[in-house]
Amino acid sequence: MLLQIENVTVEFSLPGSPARGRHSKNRLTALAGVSFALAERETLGIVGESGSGKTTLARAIVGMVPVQEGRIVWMGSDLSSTNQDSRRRIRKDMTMIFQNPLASLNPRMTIGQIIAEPCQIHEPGVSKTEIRRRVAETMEWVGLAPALANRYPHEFSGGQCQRIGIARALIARPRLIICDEPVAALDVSIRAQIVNLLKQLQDEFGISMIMISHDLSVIRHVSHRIMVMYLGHVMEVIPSRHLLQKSCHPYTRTLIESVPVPDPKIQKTRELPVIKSDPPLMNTPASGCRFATRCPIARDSCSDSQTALLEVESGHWLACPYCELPPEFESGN
Amino acid sequence: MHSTPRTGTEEPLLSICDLRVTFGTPEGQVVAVDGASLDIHPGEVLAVVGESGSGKSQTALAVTGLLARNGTSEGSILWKGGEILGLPEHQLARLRSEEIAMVFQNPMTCLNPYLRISTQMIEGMTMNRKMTRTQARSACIDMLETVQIADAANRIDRYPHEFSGGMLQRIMIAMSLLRRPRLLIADEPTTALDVTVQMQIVQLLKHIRRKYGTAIMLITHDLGLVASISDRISIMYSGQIMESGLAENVFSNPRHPYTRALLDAIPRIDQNDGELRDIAGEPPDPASRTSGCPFHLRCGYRIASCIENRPDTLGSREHAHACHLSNET
Repeated sequence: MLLQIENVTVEFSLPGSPARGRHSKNRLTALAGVSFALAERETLGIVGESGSGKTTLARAIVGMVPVQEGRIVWMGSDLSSTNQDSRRRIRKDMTMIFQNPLASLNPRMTIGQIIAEPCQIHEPGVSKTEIRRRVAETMEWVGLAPALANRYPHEFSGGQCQRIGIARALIARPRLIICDEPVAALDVSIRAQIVNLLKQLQDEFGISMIMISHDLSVIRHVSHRIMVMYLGHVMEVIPSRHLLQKSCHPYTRTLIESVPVPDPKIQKTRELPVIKSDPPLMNTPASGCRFATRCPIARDSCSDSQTALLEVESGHWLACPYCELPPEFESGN
Repeated sequence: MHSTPRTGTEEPLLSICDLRVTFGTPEGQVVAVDGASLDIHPGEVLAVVGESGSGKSQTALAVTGLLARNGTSEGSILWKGGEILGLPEHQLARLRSEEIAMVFQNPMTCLNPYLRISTQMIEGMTMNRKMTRTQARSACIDMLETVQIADAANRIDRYPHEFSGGMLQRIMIAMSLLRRPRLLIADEPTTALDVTVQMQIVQLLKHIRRKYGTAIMLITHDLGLVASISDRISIMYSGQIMESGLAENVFSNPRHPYTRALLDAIPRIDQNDGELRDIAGEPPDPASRTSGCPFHLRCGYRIASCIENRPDTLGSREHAHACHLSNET
């Protein structure tokens, strides 16, 4: 296994109300005991609404937020016990692509400098000519003309900026790329370009990917497995090819049914999901299943005790004891 | 260039004809909308679909007279048969407050964070209508209940930050409906929201249309959203309308290469699709418009006349498109 996440919990302290003083014990649990493993060459899609903890999980893996409990094991070594130096070495193998392509690029650096930076940090001995060669090569991989290396980020469109971000993530030849909403900010016609580019790079270089998105149709398209999160908990893990037919957690089904199909005929006949209210606030503690307050099949016992994530079928993990397999999903055409 | 000859007998509510919106900038003239025509009948949901820079939002702003100061619009915009392009500001303001309401993408930035929801909602009601604060308040609470804000009587006195994004968008829709507008322009109303909440907003918009008979002009890039709610569609690209017609017609029989390419480029939740077919190149820069068909740079079916001449829009209100290729065959 390339990466193993074991029972990871991340908490943030919240500023208390003025009456209780500034350092209150008010805690927000962003991730509550999340576990999964990622194999080489695998793409894991993480999907969930805002506040589900998907971005926090990505940040915890790369070490941008401290982990309170649990272990993150990278190729056999526990990341929480490694020192700064080896952490830096590991960071060479793990890179990230962010949602807002322009905001994630330094406006005062040329894109050549931006793409070269990881190389200079992780391999300080490499000569300037070699770096230039690698920058040019990487730019070609992501579909940018190497002649553009002396331009600044503002001279590029959103889709091109995302290509620059991908080139920067790719130049150190990582083993894992974490993509946090890589296409959410892009136009429809550009989205498909970036999705196809990511898939093609993965095939070519054998990189593992963690793809974070709120868009289930994009996630399903690019991932081998899908992990569905809700308020810091894993609700279901399922191979992508089984998502439509075999997923059965009420939250997963709600997400699937909420994604509109671009065909008015089908969309008219689809049953609209019965979902109650908005997601509850994260800092309101809940003892049982976090989805119970909005769940269409919730029973009294759901709010009593936390449901365990159990393997119901090979590769299919589920945190709901009451749901049944859905009727065959009617596909279009 | 009248693109959509009408077949219905009823008078359209809004009729935009050959609209051209330009902005004067230090770098030169930017053409945001380049001869767009569309109309909306009472109670109808028209989706205006396009990518960034396609001119869909500027079309809506031209209708409401809210273009930026350096913007000018030409052509004709008829509201219930009367020209509203170039109306003096006080008449446009009356139109906006009584007949055409607008809801924007980010509800958080549209509300004043320092004022209670009640203050912001009641303000519009008491200002130019003979209504007491008590009457206005109870009308506001009723409307909040219509958009399914639970415990509206108490929540109306909360501040915007105490609500989630989906609730704020419902509050914005409630505010826009207070004056019972005939037309609601919703500019990307669900883009900032989660999918489950997006569905709630779609259901709410459908409910409003049924209950009040409000026509809706939905501006979006999300074809799934369009398929869930709209009666008719206009596909915009580079300030021009590429294809328009009844939703079923455009989706099941897309005639313009751009529409087809768009539909091929989106992954679908209900089908196991193979490779996504992307559209090479980028949407054109509004500052440098090309001659001929604006899509010719990215089109796989380009012929010589695409580069030279702008195609005419042919067809009916049920289905029309502007493409040389299909015009010839």
